[in-house]
Amino acid sequence: MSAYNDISVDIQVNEEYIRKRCENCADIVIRPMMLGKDKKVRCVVVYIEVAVSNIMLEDTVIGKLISHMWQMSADEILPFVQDNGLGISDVKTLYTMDEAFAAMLAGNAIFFLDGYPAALKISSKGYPDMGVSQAEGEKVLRGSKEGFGDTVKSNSALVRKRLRDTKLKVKEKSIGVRSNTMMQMLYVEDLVEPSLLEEIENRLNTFEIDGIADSGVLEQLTEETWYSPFPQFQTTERPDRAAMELLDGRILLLVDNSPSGLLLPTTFHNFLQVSEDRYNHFEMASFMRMLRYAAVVLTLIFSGMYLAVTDFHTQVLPTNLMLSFAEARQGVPFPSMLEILIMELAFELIREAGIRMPGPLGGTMGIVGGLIVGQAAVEANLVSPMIVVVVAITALSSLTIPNEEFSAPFRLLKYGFIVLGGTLGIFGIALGVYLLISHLAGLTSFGIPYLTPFTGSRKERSKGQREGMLRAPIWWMNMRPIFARKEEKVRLRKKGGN
Amino acid sequence: MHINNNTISHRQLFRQVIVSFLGIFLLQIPGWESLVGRVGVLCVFIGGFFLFFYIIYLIRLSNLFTNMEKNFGKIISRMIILLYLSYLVVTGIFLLLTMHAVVSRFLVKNAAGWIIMGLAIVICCQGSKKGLEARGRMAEVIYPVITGAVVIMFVLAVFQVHPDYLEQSASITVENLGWGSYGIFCAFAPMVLLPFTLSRVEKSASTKGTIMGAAGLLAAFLILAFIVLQGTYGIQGLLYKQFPVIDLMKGVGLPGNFLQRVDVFWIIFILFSVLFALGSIFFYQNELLSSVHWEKYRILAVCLMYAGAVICKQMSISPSYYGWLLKWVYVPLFLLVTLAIGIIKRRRIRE
Repeated sequence: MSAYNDISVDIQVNEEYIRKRCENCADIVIRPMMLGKDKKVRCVVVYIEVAVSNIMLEDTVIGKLISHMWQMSADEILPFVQDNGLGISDVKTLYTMDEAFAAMLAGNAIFFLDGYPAALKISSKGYPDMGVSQAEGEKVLRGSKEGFGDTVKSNSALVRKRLRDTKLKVKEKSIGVRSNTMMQMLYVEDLVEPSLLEEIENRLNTFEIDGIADSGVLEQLTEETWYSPFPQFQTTERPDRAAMELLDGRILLLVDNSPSGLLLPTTFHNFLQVSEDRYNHFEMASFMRMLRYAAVVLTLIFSGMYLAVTDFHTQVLPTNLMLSFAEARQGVPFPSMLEILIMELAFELIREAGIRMPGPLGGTMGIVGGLIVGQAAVEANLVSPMIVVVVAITALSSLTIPNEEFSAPFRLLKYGFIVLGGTLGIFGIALGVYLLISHLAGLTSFGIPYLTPFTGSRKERSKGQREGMLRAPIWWMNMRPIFARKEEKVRLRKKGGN
Repeated sequence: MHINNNTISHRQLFRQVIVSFLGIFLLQIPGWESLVGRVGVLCVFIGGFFLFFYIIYLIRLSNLFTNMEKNFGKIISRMIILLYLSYLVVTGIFLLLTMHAVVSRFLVKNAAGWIIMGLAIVICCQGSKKGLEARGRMAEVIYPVITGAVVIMFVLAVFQVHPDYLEQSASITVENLGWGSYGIFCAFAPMVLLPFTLSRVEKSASTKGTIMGAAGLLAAFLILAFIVLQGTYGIQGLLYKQFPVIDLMKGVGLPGNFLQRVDVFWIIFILFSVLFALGSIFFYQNELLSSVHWEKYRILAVCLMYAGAVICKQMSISPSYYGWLLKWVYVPLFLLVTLAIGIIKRRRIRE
């Protein structure tokens, strides 16, 4: 073996190296064979047992060629491989052992032949996976039901299925010194801003990690403001959404073994959009969008506001309502703030338990927790019925936010607002809102202000996009958003026709 | 990056000016003795007239403020910066005292001053180092909410106006008009800080219209407040109110009367604007300190402001002293300094 790890002409040297490197790797099959009529030409096939089945191997063109080689004389085999090896569609020639091992570990079979200073990669379907499944995290009533799976190649194929254009580029990169996880970067060549592409490539080169198990790790490693609870990448499990976002000039990062693609850059507004916003009529899409914005506000401040109004600013409420609140609280031993904190934490527990419970038990857990425990707590005078209503509204609002990663910071910050509202009343809420807006105003995702399209001196540039809290009729949305390259802003134009 | 985040747009500048001034103006100016009803309206016009020329003058000087040490030498530039810094500290104390007065009277009864003011400082300090563009974005987002709320509240308050109160007139004397107009001019004193940041506004040479527009809109809000307040309380009634604009909302209800009182919400919108103004004070403090490489004194300046506010609170010093300081100390000094800078600029052009 040379210093550069080249594949040797001598099969013995190659086999020894492979066996040494694969020592105690019971899942890796090293299958030596003697080819040719006289069984004189030695070859070795190396593959991962589960990733490459024997049947599959025999079904490939090279598999059939190997079968053919059993009938050939020893002198004919080497020239035959040299002449035909590269011409076969599912075969790639590899010249170093590192390349060969990387290909084998990616789930392919590698074929070494005595006297041939290279190896042939025989493509395989790779590791077992769940295949294309439904996008559980981003359910829609209208639109494709397909969701990303665990295999990066299948995922990019699902996007390619929707964008059949060679301008859709797919760049591959291996991340993780030990995991060698394949990552793909998808973008439409003439729509993406080159500086954006350069920036993400630079960021991907700024770290070295042993392994990546999900796109979430990549997200945290490449985001600008690491301390912010707000996601600076948007995740999606939907290939149709990903394809549409690529047409807006955004970049999609897919990571092997992760069904969540990362879209960048992203803004506050992007998280409150769903794929259906594009498919439905503008009136309904706008209404739903406003509902989601209201849900964000309610998730964040509703509980705190309740405390502020009932503990500090009772003059706001009509007397009858105030009296019924007071009546409902009779016999409850805890202060309102503690009541709310107990119920909010109980809801988080139910939610967490529901997620971790297998299958249908999760739903049951929600009903048991929400109805039975809630009712029992009220009957036992642990909390007042109003608190249950307040927590239920907050919980419903948090579930209305379409993106789980985006909903999480609001659920977390809600506790801060409860404390502020409970100790300083509405002034505390104002302080919290000030701090939040100040933080969001300073946040950017790959240079794009997080509060776009509500802010930014570049708002003029995204005028034709007509996106905001309301969605314009589709014919008015003729421009791509701020992410796309300036020269390719127009995305919809009318054609003259009969 | 394909996006330039180093400058702000005229729109952001406009909104920053409005959001910074609106809350404190509505809280403080309509209570001034010489600024009542029609006299107040006249004073806004006269004060605005002089302000117009002064702003043009300031914009013309703005290039000299970008690199002060180079333009005026180390000692003079530091003296000028010290003057501006002391003004910022005094303004910060005034804002903190006003905020505490409103909070403890209308929102959290008898709230401890050191806690309210301390929290306001901590919250407003956060993000003040993120640059002008972050403040621009913040102003852009909150501007429609704050101005919208103020407009709605004025519209609702119009129903309380008694037409006969509007016919009353305070005695219009030259002295009244003079002091009132000078008071309005002094209220816009924070405009002297604009030259420090104008270089970071897109097409900074043409910001005149934007700043004038913002000052005009603020003047319009003030005029509206003077008219509505006089119509609601009459001239005599106004003289005994510390925060007449807040009192104005006490009797206002929302259509449908589903809430008993809404003044709390209005107070909060106005206080939000005051918080933004306080954030602007910290922002300009950072800018001034870094212009003479005194970044390490940032905490000291903040502590000074906090200590000043707490001491003033303990000694029951009224925020109205701020008006006296502006009229007799800071505004004359600023006029002198800017005049001197103008003379230096003229000499340089001649040379």
